[in-house]
Amino acid sequence: MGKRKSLIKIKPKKFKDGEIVKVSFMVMHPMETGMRKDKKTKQIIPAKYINNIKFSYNGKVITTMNVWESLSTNPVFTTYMKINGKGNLTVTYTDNTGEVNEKSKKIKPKG
Amino acid sequence: MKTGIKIALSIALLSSLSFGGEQFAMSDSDRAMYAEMLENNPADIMVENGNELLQEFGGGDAGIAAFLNVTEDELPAYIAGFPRYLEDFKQVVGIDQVLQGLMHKNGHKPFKLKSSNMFDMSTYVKTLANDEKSNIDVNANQHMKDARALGDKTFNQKRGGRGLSCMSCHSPDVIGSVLRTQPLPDLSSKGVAVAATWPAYRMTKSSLRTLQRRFQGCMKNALLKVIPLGSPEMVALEVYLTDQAKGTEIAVPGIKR
Repeated sequence: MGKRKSLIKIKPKKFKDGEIVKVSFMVMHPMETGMRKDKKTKQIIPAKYINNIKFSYNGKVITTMNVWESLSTNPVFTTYMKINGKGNLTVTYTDNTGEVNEKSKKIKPKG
Repeated sequence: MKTGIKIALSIALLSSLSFGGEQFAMSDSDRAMYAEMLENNPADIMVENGNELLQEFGGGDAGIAAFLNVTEDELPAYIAGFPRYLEDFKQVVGIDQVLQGLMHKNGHKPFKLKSSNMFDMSTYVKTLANDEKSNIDVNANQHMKDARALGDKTFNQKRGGRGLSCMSCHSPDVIGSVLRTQPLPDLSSKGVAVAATWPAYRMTKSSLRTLQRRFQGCMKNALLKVIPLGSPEMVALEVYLTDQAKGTEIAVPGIKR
């Protein structure tokens, strides 16, 4: 399994300094609950789900979320944040299997 | 004689399908739903994947700008003019072929034109030109003139067992007709802006498709021999349709049925 497809989306697209924006993070993840059987091999598919997400802006943590296997495949996480100058928004997410991934986006407020 | 009967039959079929178009056409609430989908386009995540791939294999925006011999500021307007004739390639090329050349130059094995990675990457490059006006110049040189003429010819060329051409279903006469529950768009008139919204996410295929890939699907359903991606005819068709959309604002990725 290579790296996962993920996306950080900010709304509105063009924002100013000091504005409160909506930040969505979506990731292509199977979110296996560990309760499903493979139809062909009759084996239980091992659990693999995101259990922790951390949003940080210029190194300062904005939000952390602890989630469980009840979330759907390819989940979307949304939070709000106040723009405070140029910087880097980083989202770190951890699997129950210990897989840690990171996604970052440059923030450039206009005006 | 036999082909004459075939053509008559196909025309009869077409006209019977166009009966009762209102029943199948999209309702206003459906259109509102599609408009909302434009805000949350599922293809965004694929475009972001294309961005990462370009960073990895092509050196990002700076890499492609250097490859095309333009500055990064000029890049959006330059991309809005594709397909172009490039001296390095000695032919009229689309963005995907340019990306193949870029990957080769950087010492990577180029993605196939039909691979989803290539669709993602070429869509990302086209999103750089968002909000720019499509500025393809078909009179720039003889090669572009030839491509435009070849595109026109391919558009009107009757092929296959049923003798269908693109013009059979996409002429100004068909506006309002319905084929497979969808109203047929006119593609042959000047000012048709469809090309500015491709590449687009196709909901029936749940994937991102480029304009050339869309042509292939249309050819397959019309029982025509499918022209390979990146061939002179295919690029010429893209030139032809992009020329119709000249002057309209580019908005990719679009969203289609």
